[in-house]
Amino acid sequence: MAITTDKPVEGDETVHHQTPSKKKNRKPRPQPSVPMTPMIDVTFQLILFFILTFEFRETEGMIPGTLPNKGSFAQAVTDVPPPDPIQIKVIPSANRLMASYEMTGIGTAIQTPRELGLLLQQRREQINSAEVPIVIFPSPDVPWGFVVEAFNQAKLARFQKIGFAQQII
Amino acid sequence: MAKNKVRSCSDVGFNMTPMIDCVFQLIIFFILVGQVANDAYAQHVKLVRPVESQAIPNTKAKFLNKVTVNVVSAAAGQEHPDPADAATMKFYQILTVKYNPGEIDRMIDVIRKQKADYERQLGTSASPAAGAGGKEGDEKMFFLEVRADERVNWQDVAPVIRAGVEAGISKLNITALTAQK
Repeated sequence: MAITTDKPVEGDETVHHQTPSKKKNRKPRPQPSVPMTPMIDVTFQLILFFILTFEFRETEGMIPGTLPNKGSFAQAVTDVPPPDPIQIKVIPSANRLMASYEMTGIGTAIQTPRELGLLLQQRREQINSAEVPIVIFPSPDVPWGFVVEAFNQAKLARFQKIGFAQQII
Repeated sequence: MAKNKVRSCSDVGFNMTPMIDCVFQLIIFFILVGQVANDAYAQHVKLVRPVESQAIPNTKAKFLNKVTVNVVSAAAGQEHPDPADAATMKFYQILTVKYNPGEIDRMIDVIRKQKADYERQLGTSASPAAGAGGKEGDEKMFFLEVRADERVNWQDVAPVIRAGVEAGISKLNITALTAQK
């Protein structure tokens, strides 16, 4: 069986016959092309817009709590006396960059929210009730962040009734 | 004499495909990561991230049954603010309206009106939005969201909480950053 090839073989001087259709195919055909420039322009505009307006935002959330009903203080008369609340005072340091906490039954100042959380959890296990109210007394000039820390730790210790009170000076 | 070979300009070309791929990847990234601006949230409020944060991400709660009060610091948006400036409250903001510290009564009226509007809407709506607490009983409650800068003094945030009580709201949510993962 003969092997045929289109490639010219060295020393082969035979003139091969080519069909007219093959001759026609040799002519370079213009390739269809999609104009990319406008798309790239628009895409770069979009990229530039996103890069310039982009701002990393951290995930916000909400710590749920409740507010007392207006005028509920006068109505709160029950046979069973309410349990003594645990009071937490929030006191800022001189430069306001730190704050310490004072808690009922703890003689020394608590320096960190984590320490406050541990003490609250211990107290919660001792009394074995989530119904004991926690009252947070922030100093008027304490940054809000430290107040939220106290609230958050009380939540973490699974206390149900957490409230704020204004210190009377 | 040898003829100089002249290459036509059409022979030179860039391979655009990888570049377009990268650009599209970037666009998709920015679209997915970018958040839609929310009118209720003031810009440049520095929120606290409490230790072992108990904050429930906002994605789990819908936004129809609440009024958000932003407490914006005088140092909002500053890179290296003066601590005294940071502690000072500049204004309160509900939606896009700003309130001066002396306008608590006006704020109480607005909160009361929003609560009344929600309750009126609730009367005609069969399926109200879920509350942030995610509990069964919380579903229909209108709540006050306190979104305060962590640096402002407690004495500037306390009036907002009192305004909520005055307006007859019984549920308070404090905005904070969620726990780091």
